[in-house]
Amino acid sequence: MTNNTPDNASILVRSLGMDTRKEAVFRMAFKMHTRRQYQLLESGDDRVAHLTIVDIDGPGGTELARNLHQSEPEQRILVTSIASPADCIFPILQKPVRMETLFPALESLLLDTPRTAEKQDTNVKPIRPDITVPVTSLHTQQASPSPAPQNAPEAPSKPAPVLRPEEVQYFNPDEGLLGLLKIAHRDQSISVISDQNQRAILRLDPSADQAAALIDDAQLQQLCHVSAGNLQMRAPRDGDSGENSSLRHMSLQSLLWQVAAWTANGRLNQKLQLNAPVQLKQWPNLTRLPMLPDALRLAAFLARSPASPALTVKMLRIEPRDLFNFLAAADSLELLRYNTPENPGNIVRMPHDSASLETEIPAAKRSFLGRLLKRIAGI
Amino acid sequence: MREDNKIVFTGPVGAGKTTAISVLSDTPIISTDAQASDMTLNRKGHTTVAMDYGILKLDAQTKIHLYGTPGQERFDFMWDILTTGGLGLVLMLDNTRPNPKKDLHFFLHAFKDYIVNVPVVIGISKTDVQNRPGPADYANMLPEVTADLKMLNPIPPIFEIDGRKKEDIKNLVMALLYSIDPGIGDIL
Repeated sequence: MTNNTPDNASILVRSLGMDTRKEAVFRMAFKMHTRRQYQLLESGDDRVAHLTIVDIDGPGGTELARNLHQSEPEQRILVTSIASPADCIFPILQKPVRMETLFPALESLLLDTPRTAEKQDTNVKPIRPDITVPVTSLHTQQASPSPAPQNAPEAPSKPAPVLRPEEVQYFNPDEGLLGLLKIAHRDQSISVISDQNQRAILRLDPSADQAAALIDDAQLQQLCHVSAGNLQMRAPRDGDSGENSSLRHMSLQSLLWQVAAWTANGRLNQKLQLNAPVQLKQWPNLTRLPMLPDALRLAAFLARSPASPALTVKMLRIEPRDLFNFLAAADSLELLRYNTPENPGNIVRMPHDSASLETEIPAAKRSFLGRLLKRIAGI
Repeated sequence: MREDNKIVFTGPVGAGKTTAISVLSDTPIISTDAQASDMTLNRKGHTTVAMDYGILKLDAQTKIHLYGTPGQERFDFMWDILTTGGLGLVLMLDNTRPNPKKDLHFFLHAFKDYIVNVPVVIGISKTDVQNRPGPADYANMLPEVTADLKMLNPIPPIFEIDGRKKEDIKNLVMALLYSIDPGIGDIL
């Protein structure tokens, strides 16, 4: 038997006391580790292993390791266990097994000259995850080799949009088509919205979260700016759907979201104040809603911590109209918290200790995340 | 291998983890599928017994490692092998399972030490078959389910997803990245 561990060849590892599934875990871990090439021997493979991993929690327990050591005193042995038996003479890799502890343990074993059991009694210490892990942290990320220079300046940012309070326009979300849709949503009753000619334009079934539009998007968008006096909500009648071939089905939430954004059209909900905090109660279901510009970023920002519209524009360098449209859409689904005398139960809640607005992301990491985001967006 | 360039996909059997990883991976995923032999057989013929592994290449030198855990709860002993460092956790839930709230509780607690430091995003699959609970219902479950947990993002993204739709998976992972830093979009 040899204990030499060739640099370029596979390091052969034998397993004892493991079922096929546990072996599959190690096999996969070895595949993912690229610094050295480890290979778990199949049962029946007669090649001499450079080291052996013994699971002592199964039948046979530590006897498996002891028997192996007696028959092959030169063999390097690593045992894995949930517990850490005090009388164990072999290095212990405590479960749950982590990549960060497994490979340092194997490296350590390979570097060690095989010892007799007596020597191991005094020299070998159990390997604990908490003392061997090179902790991955932001510092490591900054220090790790990366094609991005460690002190790379941030990519050129977009010019910061300017928010001039005197130029901000407001709208009333309780008026017009949006107001009618909100009433239907609140009352949970099947209804129809018709135009001034009594022609049905929308069929709504709030309890099933369903809506059907009998007009196209361009007409619907125009109606967002028509006064409520020209629109009517009523009970459905026979023939409302007629033979209209352009009937389009969607979720009521999706309709509310889109109509709110069209209604806002770059204006701020009059219930919100430029310098008062706003907060998301929960993320909008953005994979099933019409995507608005920067909706993912805005949701991430406003779910993390309350922020005023003015601060949000400043921090995210976002166009005010995109923010205002997003706020209108989120409020139409009752996803926003903001302080208002009409709804004292909806006040902003300050986070206890979650990430704050001031959390600084190192430039190198921000650059890395930005590149990753761009890569995923391009898939 | 840089352990920080890692995204972990977890969730119960059949939630679509393997499919999601294959959407993102630049290389054929390394999978440890095997014929399901127990209750799992009721949900799918083959299932992941160890883990799935895919790679998303950022450039010639930088890779993002995509790991999928096996869905069966009895394999939770191995999950820690995956979860030190990394970018975040993608939890995928199958809405047709008998008790999605129990799944939500189980998987968030299984990764409780991990999600202290990295954000989690939740994707709900098969809502076309079973539309309740919806994202809002899951959001309402969270305060109770996570009462004893400390999460980096206590209000996580919860999206309906179809693992076969690339856009759904992209948006879910982009939401994960924005949860780390909403400011990153500024430099695109």
